[in-house]
Amino acid sequence: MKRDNTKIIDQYLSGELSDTERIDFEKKLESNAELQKELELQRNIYEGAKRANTRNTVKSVGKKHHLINLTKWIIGGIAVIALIVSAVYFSMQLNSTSEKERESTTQLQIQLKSKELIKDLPREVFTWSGEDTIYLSESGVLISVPNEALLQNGQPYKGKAIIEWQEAVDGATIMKSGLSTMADSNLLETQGMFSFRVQAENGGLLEVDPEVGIYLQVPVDEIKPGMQLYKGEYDKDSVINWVNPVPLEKIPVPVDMSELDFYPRGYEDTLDKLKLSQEKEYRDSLYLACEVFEMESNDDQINKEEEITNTSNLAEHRIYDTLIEDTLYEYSENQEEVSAVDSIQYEKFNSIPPSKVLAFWNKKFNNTILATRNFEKRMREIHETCDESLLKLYTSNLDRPLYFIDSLAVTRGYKQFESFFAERVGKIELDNPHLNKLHKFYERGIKELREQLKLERERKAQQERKWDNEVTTARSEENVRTANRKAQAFQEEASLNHEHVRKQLGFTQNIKITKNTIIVNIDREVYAATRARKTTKVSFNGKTSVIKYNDFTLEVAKHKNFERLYVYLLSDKLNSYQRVGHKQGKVDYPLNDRITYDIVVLGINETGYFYHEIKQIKKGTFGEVKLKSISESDFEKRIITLNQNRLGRPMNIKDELAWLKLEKENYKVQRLREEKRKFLERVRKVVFPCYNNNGYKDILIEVFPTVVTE
Amino acid sequence: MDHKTQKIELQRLYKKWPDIKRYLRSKGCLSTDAEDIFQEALIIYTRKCEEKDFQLDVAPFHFIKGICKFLWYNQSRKNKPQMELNEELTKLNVEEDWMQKELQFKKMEDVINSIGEKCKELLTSFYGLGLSMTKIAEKLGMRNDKVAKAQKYRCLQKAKELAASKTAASTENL
Repeated sequence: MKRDNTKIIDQYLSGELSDTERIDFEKKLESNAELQKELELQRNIYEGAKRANTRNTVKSVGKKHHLINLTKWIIGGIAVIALIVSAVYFSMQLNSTSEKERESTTQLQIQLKSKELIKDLPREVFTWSGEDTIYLSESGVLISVPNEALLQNGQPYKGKAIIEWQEAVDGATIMKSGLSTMADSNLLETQGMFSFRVQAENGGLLEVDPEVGIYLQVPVDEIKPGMQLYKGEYDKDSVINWVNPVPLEKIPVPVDMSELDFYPRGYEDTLDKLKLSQEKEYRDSLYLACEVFEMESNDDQINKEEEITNTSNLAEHRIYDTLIEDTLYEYSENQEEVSAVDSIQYEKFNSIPPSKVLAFWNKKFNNTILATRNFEKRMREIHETCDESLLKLYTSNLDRPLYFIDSLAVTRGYKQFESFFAERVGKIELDNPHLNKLHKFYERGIKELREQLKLERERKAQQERKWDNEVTTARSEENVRTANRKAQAFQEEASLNHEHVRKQLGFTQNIKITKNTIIVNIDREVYAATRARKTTKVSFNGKTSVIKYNDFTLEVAKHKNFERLYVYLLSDKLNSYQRVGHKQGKVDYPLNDRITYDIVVLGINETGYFYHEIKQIKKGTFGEVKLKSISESDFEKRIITLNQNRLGRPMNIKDELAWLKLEKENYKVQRLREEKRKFLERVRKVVFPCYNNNGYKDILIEVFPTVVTE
Repeated sequence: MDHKTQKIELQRLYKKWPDIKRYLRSKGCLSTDAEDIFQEALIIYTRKCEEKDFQLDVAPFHFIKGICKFLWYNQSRKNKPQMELNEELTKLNVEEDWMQKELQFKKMEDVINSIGEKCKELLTSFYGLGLSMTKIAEKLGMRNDKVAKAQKYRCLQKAKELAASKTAASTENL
């Protein structure tokens, strides 16, 4: 790019070209794409410059806005501040001036009690009426002149006074005023120079009482470490020489605890993203809930259920031992799954326990170094270190300057605290009885919070245990019931078959006699056929009887949508209803030819019941069957009607329905429990940067099988 | 609007900062980003109001809130499809192209910020505050307006080179 173009484009854009020059330029422009681009770029730069100017204005307005909001606490805090600076004749108030760190202030050099005000520098004048007053200068410097800050001839001055103020904060002003930045022969880097002079109403110069001090708070864009306060003295050539550097000690500004944020980084944002309540009470309690006690079992809820030892009512059906064993096996499998989820163990990891944060985040700690923006910043770092003892350094040294504690943190190897140390933030005076009280209050607070949390957890664990016991009891009852029902159904069906065979063979007794007079019990064949559900021929003496079983198959559409799926057979010959199993939604269960069946297919998931019924069949290949949603009461009504219509003494189905209802409820309970656990895990990962419970995921298994086959 | 009136207007609008902050935070914006977005919206508001044919149909607060919403979604590039974002602008009487250009000019600010304090001061005083070259020469301690003008060209040249290299770099990165 040639410089010529820059100039001519600039002249063109600002209308400085003559007509001929302009036409000439426009011609060039038409044919020269490169030039067009350059013109566009230059225009953009103008806009960029305009914008940069507007941004400056907006930023300075913002800075002022935050400063003005601070005046309240300054007035409130003056008594404290005055004590702290008693040793320095003129102290700088250097603190975070707003919630934003980059608004922090610092100060460099100050010219005080100068006999001559700085030449060529505009002067601001304020009047002081003898009371605590705050002024805001043109560049946003906050000047606080407290009551009794001024002396006349060594005596406190009570009357009105005039304050003269000069400031040079940007390079241009400093140069224009011919201010030097020399300290003897060393060149200083400056962040601002100020002059301050007070005259009594009658014209005499006043002095600042070194016991009280005056406070300045200077907004800067960047905190530069190592900045010091210098006093300006004119040398013989009337050039200011900066002498007597004093390290700046920032005075921590007490802020109300309710305005501070001591949560770990990202905690609130995570909750905001999840659109969770913004109430502090809720957020505190969730934060506390993250606390992990060492080797904690998440809910102390390992249910060791007694094995089923009472098999007395099963003993009668010894013939079906295998059937019962299957059922018991199924039962014990379920138990293992439940207890595995409930026994999550937390390995020890370093963390800042929420109770130890919440215990001081309390208005009792207002007016201590903990209730400051400075500590808020440190707390954020403390969270990142996961070092509980680091927090203790601050909570147990409330009477020390922050920079002193920062230095302890640095010696422990936490480099990130060096920059805090460099800020040299001082202390807030506390009288000793108050300090002791606070220490006690803090310790008690931690204890109380932890006890409260333990109690709450115990209460919840008990609730969960109660529910789980209920479910377990219902399941064990259901298992016994199922075993009984299966046995009964089998026996009834076998009797039916038996009766049929005997009739056909013309028997009156249960034996057939062969030529060799061997007694054969036909029961065996009948039972075998009934168990296998296979068409079987029983022959004797030229006569043949057939026990006939017909194919019955169906497949439930989208069976995976249901957490549980059951197929009930309600027959017109057996008192007992039957519940048959399925594999992946497929049912294959040959039907006894001598019985007419009503079939009910039931799917359950958290949203409710899904139903299909087939009436009055002996056989059938039904292919895909679609279940339709049905209300709980409708479902109950239908199944009770079907059950009652089939024969004189149908088996009671109400217990079964109650159990189904409980199971349905339990899916929801378990899912919510699991979701809550996962949620807490998620928050824990935000709250504890050093937390990484990898084991947790592995232990997580599905609480319930999606398909149960019998 | 002269500089002083503008400042007063901005001070008045800045009082709404807590409301905007709450609003942005409820949209998932971090509080550290929120004030940048708010200030950017104030800049956009100021610049838009400077346009002769611009008509403000809503209260300034709502305009700023709407711009904040646009900027936040635009920045976080999530949830909202571009179409919906543009509708947001239409409601505020802001053309889509105009906004895109603004975002471009914002990048130019980075250029202005990296050409040195003196150059920055010179260009912003001239193009932003509209000060005369004589005034600028005085302010920056230059001998006369001619020196200031020559310096202005040098600064512009510097800015153009930097902008061009930045564009080249970002193209390479693509």
